[in-house]
Amino acid sequence: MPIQKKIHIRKPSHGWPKLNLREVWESRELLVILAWRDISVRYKQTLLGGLWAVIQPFVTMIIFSIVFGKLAQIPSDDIPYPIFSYTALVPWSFFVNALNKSSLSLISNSNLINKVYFPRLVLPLSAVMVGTIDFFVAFFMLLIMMIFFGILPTVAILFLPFFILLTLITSLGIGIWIATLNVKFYDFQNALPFMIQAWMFATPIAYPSSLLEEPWRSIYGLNPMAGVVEGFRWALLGTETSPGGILIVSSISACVILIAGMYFFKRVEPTFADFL
Amino acid sequence: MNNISIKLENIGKRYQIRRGQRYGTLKETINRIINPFHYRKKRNYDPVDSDKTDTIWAVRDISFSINQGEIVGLVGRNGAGKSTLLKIIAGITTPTCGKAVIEGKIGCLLEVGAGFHPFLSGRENVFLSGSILGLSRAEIKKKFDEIVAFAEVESFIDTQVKYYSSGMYARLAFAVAAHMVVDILIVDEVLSVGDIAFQKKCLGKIDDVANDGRTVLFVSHNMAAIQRLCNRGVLFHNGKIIMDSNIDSIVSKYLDNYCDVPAKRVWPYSDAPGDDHVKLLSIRVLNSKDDSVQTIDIHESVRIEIVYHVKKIHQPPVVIIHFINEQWLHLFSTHDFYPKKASTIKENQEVCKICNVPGNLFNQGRIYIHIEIINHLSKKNHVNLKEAVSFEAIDQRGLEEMEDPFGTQWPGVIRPALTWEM
Repeated sequence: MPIQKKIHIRKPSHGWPKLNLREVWESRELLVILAWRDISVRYKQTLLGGLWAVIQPFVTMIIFSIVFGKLAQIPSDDIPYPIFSYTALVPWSFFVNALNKSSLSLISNSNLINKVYFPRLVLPLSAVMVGTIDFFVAFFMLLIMMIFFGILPTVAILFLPFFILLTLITSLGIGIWIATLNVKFYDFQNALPFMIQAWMFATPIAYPSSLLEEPWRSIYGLNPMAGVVEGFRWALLGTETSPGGILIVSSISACVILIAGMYFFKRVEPTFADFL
Repeated sequence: MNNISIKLENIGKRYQIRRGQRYGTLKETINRIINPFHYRKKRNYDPVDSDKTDTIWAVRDISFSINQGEIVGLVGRNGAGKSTLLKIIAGITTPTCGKAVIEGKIGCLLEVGAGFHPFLSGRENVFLSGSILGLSRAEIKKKFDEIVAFAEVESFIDTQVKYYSSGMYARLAFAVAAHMVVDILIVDEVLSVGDIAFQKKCLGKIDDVANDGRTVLFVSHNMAAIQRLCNRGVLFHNGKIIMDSNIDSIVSKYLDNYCDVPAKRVWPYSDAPGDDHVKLLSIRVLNSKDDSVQTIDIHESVRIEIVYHVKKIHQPPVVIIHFINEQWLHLFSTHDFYPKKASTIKENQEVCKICNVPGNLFNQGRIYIHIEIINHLSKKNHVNLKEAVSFEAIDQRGLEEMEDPFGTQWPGVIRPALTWEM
């Protein structure tokens, strides 16, 4: 019985790379098992395990409530400041973790990259996936807080899956960029904490984006995390200002970042083993 | 029917060497962005033609094809380009020029324990490592018991692998890789792990794979293993193919001309190692018929001949020879000092000393020789030459050894012939 054998061709890469997403899809088991490895190792190594997923945004929320809510009296769209900031911190923490993990995903697996072939895109993908569990733990805490503050979600909550997807796309997009840049330029390692800090203030976490007038508010959506945060607040807390413009801009921006990031990744991929 | 499994056409791989800088500099990249025209012009250079000083060709002009079911040994010293070529075939790195066409699923064993994580249990690591090597979950499940049995770690399978002995670790790691179902198996120097019995088992497993009609590419510095396993060999030197022939002629060509440490070294007087008292002129490995040789049958005696020139004498110089094996185990040492015998060496004399090592002493493998010539009273070194010469100790009894309970590779660092009584 003749079996069609897979033919591999190795030659120098020229021009636009092929994304070859089918190969990544075929490696989905590897993706899951790598994410599972990181989660399971973390639970074996740390005392508090999953609790960290809550502690991180929760403590930040307390600090923000004191500094920005009480002392600076920053407006919060008529919503109690703690839940106003925590709602933003849930997707934001996911984003920050995804960036930190994916920035190291290629470097810390350099030994694999040098010794085994598999679609390398799996590494930043699984790094981002690791954070999803943390995300849902922190999200559960958010639901408890909503009950505590007596906030009932509106019909807008039906859009929440879309915003979660947008968070994922944004985190993946930026994560892939940073993972790739980190291989090529070691400087990026040092720039990342600073970049994240600046990005946080450029995202309406501690303040509402309603401080800005249109059209500036929609332009602000070029930062896809702005759309994510505003979307989360709108879907869960029912903020009055409907975030239409900002959301459209953010969605487009996130998709462009992700697709461009994947092409950039693929373009540099053949040289990973030489750099690492 | 087309049964070519691997076809390489003019494969070349060039690496950039930047002193002290592993990463592309930001400055360079910014320059490229600002001045794209300059960059384009550069990029259109035929990579083969531009021979810049800061680049090195790891492999160059490599063309050959391997038929399905062939077992090919790649032979060459460190840095000859064997591993780079394997990486190109495996898809880990891209060639700078040329083209390779590979037909079938590739399994590559460049490192034992790829992806193993110390905090996970043996069972978890089997699934992890298997997935990384390209096995599906279902395949691993199906073969799980077989893998564990092969690795002989049944009772520890749920223990974290950080508590494993290095032997257990290596066995489990190899077992996972050995159970890949592939058309082409690429093996790079992974058999240096584990004890001899396990190495034998691994070789047996690779044999099975090969007998199944699958293609095997094998790199090792263990000539005995290569000779046993392969039927064809390719000899590499400085990134190029020197010879492509049957394995026996490849191995002897390699041992004669290209192996790391030769079996014979001669220095002109002006270049000779030594100080103003003693100069070392030559070292040769001789067999019992006094022929200068590369390989010695382990049953025969070996003679190490050392010629040196004595210029000045305070104390008669003492020659010391250390014998080291492939695993860098110091086997034993000897010297030519006899306290009761007055030395007859005079100033300005050329001295030739021969050390006789009886047969039935070395085990198979490469034996390296370190030479020292010292003044044993002042402890001063006239000559201290690490890896001065080396030779290959092999068992030349032929196929009858298959009857041997130990097979071809006896365990232990030496292999004395002992007598038994009843």
